[in-house]
Amino acid sequence: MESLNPKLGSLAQNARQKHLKSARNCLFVVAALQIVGGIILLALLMNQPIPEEMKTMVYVSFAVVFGAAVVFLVLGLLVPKYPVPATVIALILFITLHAIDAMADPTSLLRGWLLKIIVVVILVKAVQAAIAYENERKSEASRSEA
Amino acid sequence: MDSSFDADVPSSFGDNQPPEGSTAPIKCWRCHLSNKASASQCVYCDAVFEAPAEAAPAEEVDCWRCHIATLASNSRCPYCDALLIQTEHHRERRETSQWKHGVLAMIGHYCLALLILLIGGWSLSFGVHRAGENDEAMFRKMLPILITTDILFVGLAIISYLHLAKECAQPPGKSAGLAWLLAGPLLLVILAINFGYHTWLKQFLQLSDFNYPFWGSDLWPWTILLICVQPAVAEELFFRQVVLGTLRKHMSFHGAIWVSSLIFALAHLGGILSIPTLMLAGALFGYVRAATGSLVLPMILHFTHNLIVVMFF
Repeated sequence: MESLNPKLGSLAQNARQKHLKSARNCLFVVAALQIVGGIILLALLMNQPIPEEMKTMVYVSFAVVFGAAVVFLVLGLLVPKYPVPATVIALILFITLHAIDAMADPTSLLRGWLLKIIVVVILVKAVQAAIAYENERKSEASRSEA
Repeated sequence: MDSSFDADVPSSFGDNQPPEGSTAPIKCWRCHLSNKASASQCVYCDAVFEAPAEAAPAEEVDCWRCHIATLASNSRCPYCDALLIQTEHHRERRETSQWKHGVLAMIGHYCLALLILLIGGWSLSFGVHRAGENDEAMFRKMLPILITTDILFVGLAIISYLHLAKECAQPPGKSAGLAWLLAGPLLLVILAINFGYHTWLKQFLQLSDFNYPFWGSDLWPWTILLICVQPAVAEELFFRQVVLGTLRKHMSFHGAIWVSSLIFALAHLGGILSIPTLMLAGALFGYVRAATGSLVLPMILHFTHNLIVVMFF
């Protein structure tokens, strides 16, 4: 894996790699939560009659939920190669998805608020670690060039 | 021989150099005889004396905390007691925190923008009820909320720019002529894609359409101001200056443009299904911003894009 560069063996670098790993794991967890949430919602809706004109919208909503899960999964896989873009997109996407959810239903902001805060904090830490990691990688490259 | 040279030479001149300004004779390092203090060469054995080094002016540094100048040799600021010694670790930490500051502050501003849009959206959803009116009457009802939201967003864009002016500074453009030449045709292509995509979307999802009052309506100046001018100015300042400028310092050129255009598309909370076309438009504005090195052309393009959408879509 690119991020686990054995040449960079400082304590700080190890800590950052740990952050990157936790960011990647966090993205996988978010993707899993999206999938689980989508399946639960699907199971609940299957037991209720859906009006014909609403069916397409419901399918689109599921496509968005599962699509977001796939995006988080892909971003998690991309964290080692593109740490800053992947973590920034993940954080922005996570916040925006919940904002879109809250736009339709304001009470959804409070549902699972603790989990949301924890995920946001982990993603912020991941962005910080990614920037520090990228910074160090650049200075390492310039040092080796010199 | 001058009799004064026979005087006892103080032995404290360890390197045979008198203290600065001293007129005391110096002892030659080779023959150990006394010479004038100003002599550069021994008059007895021709040994060369090292010229006394000129005292360098004391270097001063500004304290990072209180900004008062103090001697660089001080380990702590005598005024505020801040630690002045900059180790490699300290320097790196400070640089890293500056790097972090830009991106996280930008994301913080984006969250504030979302909050403004959310409050605006809630106000529209719960405060303005459609009671069989047409789009124009609906727009008239929405007007106070739209104006307030737009004023807040313009304020946020200006504050964000002022806050992150240093972090989001971008290099000058290198191909402005080409950008001015190609921007129009590319905008037409994007408008065509936009039109095709939304026509398909409306048919596929059977969505109802909202037409902003323009032709034959007394509300057209408000439509122009709120739907065309405000986004062209405030959104370009925020997304193409603050967001793109901050990201360009941390990513590749193309990466920064596409990530900023994704953020631009996601910020349109009410139009999540329009993300693909908004991203394309955002990318065009981003490339134009980078090529021209100014916000003028992206603003013109954004204004034109929105005006055509309002007038014909």
